[in-house]
Amino acid sequence: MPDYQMTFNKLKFVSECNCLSDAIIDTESQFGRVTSTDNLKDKDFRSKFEKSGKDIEGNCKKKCSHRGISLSIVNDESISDVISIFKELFPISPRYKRFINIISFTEKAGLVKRTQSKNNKHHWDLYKCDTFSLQEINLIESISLADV
Amino acid sequence: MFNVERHKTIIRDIHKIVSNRYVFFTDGDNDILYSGTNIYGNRILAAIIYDDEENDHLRYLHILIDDSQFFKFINRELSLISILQINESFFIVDLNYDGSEKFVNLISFDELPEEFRPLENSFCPEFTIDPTFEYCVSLKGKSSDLHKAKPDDLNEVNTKFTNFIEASLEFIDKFDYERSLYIEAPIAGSFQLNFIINLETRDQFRLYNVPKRQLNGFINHLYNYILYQLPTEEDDVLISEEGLSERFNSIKSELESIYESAQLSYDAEDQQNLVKSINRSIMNLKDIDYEGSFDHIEFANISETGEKIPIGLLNRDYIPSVRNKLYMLIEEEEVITVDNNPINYQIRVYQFNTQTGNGSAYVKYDEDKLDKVSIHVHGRTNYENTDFTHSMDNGTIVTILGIGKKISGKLKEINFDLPE
Repeated sequence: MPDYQMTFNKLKFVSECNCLSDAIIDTESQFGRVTSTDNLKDKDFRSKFEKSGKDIEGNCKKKCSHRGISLSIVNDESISDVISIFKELFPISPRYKRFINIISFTEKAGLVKRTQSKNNKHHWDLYKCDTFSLQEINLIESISLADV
Repeated sequence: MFNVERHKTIIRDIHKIVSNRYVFFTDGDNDILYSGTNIYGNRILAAIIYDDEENDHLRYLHILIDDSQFFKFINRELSLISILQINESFFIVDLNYDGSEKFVNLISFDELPEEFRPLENSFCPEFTIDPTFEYCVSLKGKSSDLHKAKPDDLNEVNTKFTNFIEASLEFIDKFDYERSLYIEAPIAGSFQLNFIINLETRDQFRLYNVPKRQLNGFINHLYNYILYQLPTEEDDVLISEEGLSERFNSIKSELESIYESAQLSYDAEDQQNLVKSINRSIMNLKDIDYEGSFDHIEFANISETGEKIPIGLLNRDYIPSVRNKLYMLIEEEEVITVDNNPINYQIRVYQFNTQTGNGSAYVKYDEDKLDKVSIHVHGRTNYENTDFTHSMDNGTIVTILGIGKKISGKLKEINFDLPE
C-alpha cells in the first residue's frame, strides 16, 4: 500500500489501469510547465480529463495521460533540451503557450511520474491529489519563449 | 481571441480530417501540429494557434496543401507562414476540449491578426518517428485521383519499386539476416502498393547483434536521402570522395554505427558499396511513365498505427535531378538514332489526341514483346476516323509506315505522315 496521505478520487481512475504505479512524491526536483501567461492560474493546472469532462477511448497509457498534468523535468542535464523543444514549437503558435515556468511541488501537490514520449524524453506527469491548489506550487522562474 | 466574418458556404467537411491523421508534435496537453486527409482525399496540415481558456476551446488552423508543399514543410524547406501566404486562405477550426467541433470558418491570410500568425522561422519542428518495415507507394495525379489507373502502369510501378527496395537492402546481407520482400494486396479503388520488408535471422546462432530497430532507422533515412535530399545535392556528390556532402556523411555515420553494433570495421570498400547500392537502387526508377495514369508517386513509411509518414515525392523531374550525381547514369551515353526511311511498325494505340495527332502506343518489336512509345502524326488538322483512332477504340494492332527514333538503342518515338 502506498504511504502517501493523499487521495485521488477526483481523477476517477479506471480500475484496470494502475496509473499511480511508479508515481512518487517529489519535492526536490524542478519541472517545467508551459502556460500562456507568466502568472500561474488554476486553469494552468487542469488535466484534459477535467477540461473535457469525460474519459478518452484507448489504452491505459492514454487514459492515464488524460488525467495527468504535462511537465518536463528540469535539471542540469535536461534544461537545454527542454527549452529547445518548446523554443522550436513557439514560432508555429506564438500566441499559444509563451512561457515555460520552472516550478517545484510541496508534499501535498500529488504524485509525479516519468512518462517520456518520443519527442520529449524528459516528459513527466503530475497526478493532482484531491486537495491540490496553487499553494502547493513553488514558482522558481518564468521564462518567455520569445526571449530565449 | 479574434473574431472573423462569417462566410456563406463552406463545402461540407472539406476542413475536417477523417483519415491518415498523424500528430507530428504534442506538448502533452494538446496536439500542436498534425496532418491528415479529408473525405475528398485532400491533405490538410493543422496547427494550433490559441487555447481560449476563458471559453474552453482550442483554435486551430486547417490548411489544404498539396503534396509538394507538405514535403517541403516536413523537410524544413518551407515555413508554415510561407504556406499560409502562398495558399492565401485556410480554415479556422475551434474544438471543444472533448475534441468536438465548435466552429469552423474560412478566412484569408489578411484576416488572421498578425499576433496570431506563425513567425518567419515557423519551420516544422524536428520530430521523431519510429519507422516500421512497411513502406507504401501511392500513385497520384491524373486518372489515379479518380481511382482509375491502367493495369500496365500499376504493374510497372510495382516492379520498379520492388527492384528499388531490393537493391537498397543489399547491405543487410552482411548482418546475418535473411531478407524477403512482400507486397500486400492493394485496397480496392486505391493505388497504394504496400511493401513489407521481412528480416529473419539466418541461423540459430546469430553472429552479429544488430537490432532490427537500428537497421530500420537507417533504411528510413536512406530512403529519405535517396528520394528527397539527393536531388538537391551538388553534382558529383557520390562520384568522388571530395564531393561527399554533410547529408551523405550523416547516412554514412549511421551505417558506421550499425557496423559498430556488429563489431565489424567499416572501411573504404563498405563506403563504395553504399554508394553503389544507392546508384543501383535509383537505376530501377528510370523510365517510369509519368504521362499515363499518374504524374507523381509518393513513397512513405507506414507507422505502427497505420498512418503514412511521407519520405519522398517523385515525378518526371526526379531522374534528371539526380542524373549528374550518379556515375551509373552519367556513364550512359545517349545515342540517338533515327530511321533513314519509313518502316512498318505494328502498334496498338492506347492514348490519342485527334486534334494534335500526339499520343502513346505499344509497339510490337519481337514475337511477344510490347514496349511503350510516343506517337506523333503529321499532315492533317484532324485525325478522327484514322487507323490510330480505330486501334485505340478497338484495342487492335495496326501496321503503319513511320520513322522511329531510338535513344541508346531503345525505341522512344515514332513519327507518321498522314496526308489529307
